[in-house]
Amino acid sequence: MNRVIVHADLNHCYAQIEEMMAPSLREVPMAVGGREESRHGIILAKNDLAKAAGVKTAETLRDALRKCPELLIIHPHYEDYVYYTEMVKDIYREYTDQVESFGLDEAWFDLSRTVSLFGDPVETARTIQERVFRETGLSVSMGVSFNKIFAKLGSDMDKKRGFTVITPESFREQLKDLPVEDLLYVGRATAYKLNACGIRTIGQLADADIRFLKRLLGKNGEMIWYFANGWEGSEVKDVSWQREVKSVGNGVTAIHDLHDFTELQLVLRVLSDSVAARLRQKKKRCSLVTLYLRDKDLRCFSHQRKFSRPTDLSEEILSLALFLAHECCPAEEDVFPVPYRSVTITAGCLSEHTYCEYDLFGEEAARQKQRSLEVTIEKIRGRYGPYSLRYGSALQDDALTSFDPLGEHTIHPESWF
Amino acid sequence: MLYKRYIPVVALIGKEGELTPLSIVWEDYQDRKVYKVDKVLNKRKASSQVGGCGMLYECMILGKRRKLFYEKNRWFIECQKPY
Repeated sequence: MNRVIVHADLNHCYAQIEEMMAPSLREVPMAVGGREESRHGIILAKNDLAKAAGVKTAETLRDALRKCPELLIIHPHYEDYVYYTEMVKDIYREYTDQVESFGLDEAWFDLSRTVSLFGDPVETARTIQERVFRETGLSVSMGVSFNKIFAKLGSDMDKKRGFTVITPESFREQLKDLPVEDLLYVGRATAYKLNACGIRTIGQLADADIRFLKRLLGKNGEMIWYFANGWEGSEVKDVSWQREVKSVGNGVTAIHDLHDFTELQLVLRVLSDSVAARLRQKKKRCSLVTLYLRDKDLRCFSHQRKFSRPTDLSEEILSLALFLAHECCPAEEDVFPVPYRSVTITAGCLSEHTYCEYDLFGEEAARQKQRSLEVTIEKIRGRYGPYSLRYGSALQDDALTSFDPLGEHTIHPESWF
Repeated sequence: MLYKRYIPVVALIGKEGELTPLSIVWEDYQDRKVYKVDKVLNKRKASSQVGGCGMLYECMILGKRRKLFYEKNRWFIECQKPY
């Protein structure tokens, strides 16, 4: 193989790190799950015994406990997960400077150019896998291939500290019977459409007509056809490379359901403060605000609108979010017929904050004043804690507004693009 | 059966930042004893059978080979007594 790309995946990451820290957890069915009292009660990861008992990731703790009453629930320790996953990635970084993280627990690294230093790249990958286990006690499954897509596919083929090599000579034979949804970017909806056309396996996808796929799925159809045929040449990014920020968002599952606009506004204010502060930290301004709401029956919907000019002001983001809420939430005398459970504000269409455009009516001076007020609030909170300076309105419902989206740990989902 | 026990350690930070344990402190209900680390036999990254991972210092203490770990920012030892 000319190119040797490895995809390494920490198997059931959170649960495995918990087991590594306390090995006795391996002997009982155990799952890492959020706190039910703060209404984050879902399974985030589970160990093998819990899996054998039928516990599934992302189901509610209640459902999981019904299936497996003796299931031990551990609350997540995000700081440890970040620490130990970085420790594992540091081992990869000893071998190459091309290490690209894909979420906390996954990473690609390129060993093509390490032959003169470490010898055969496939053997090097095996050594890395053993080193990770010896030095951290964590097992990673690895896929080794000539492109990133097949490397990822390989690491998913054998989840238990597996090691799968997919070569340009063997990939057609190896992958032809795998279901199409195993391929990156073939989700449930795409798989459904493909299945309806009789394309069920990766082999069938590779043999399909590219023009037909393009008609069926648009650009995405072309892309997955190239993926299935092994024609994917994107580089593994350098360690110093950072994903370009495309949006900044904060959301929360409220401590209790939101029954009316007043409660919604209280939560939106905390969220918009955090979004605006993060925009300013990144020196960006947004032109689009999206409001996501999920009601207590777990139905979700979103609504978005553009600003006439880019902003990084909490006050403007809040007022647009409120406008969106009024536009899309049915309410009788400000009370929602179905209360909302969680809410998210996302700022999109980001642009650099380089210059400010004055408008004809001189509102810019007021905006500058508002900006310096918000920057000052942010500084005080930065120095004395998130609750050192709050809006009087927040005290109407202290429990509802006592969360700190800015300071709390956030793990960003990542996308291929 | 081995247990994980976090202990205070007196260590030397060298010129290059390298850490060498000099003695370990054993605290019981009644008393507190200090045992000298006679020799560090080897030092490597490793995971422990009692849970956790970090820099392992295999040491000779009172003529016995003991595994002392520096985990994140504190020390633990694999020991026979739970407390």
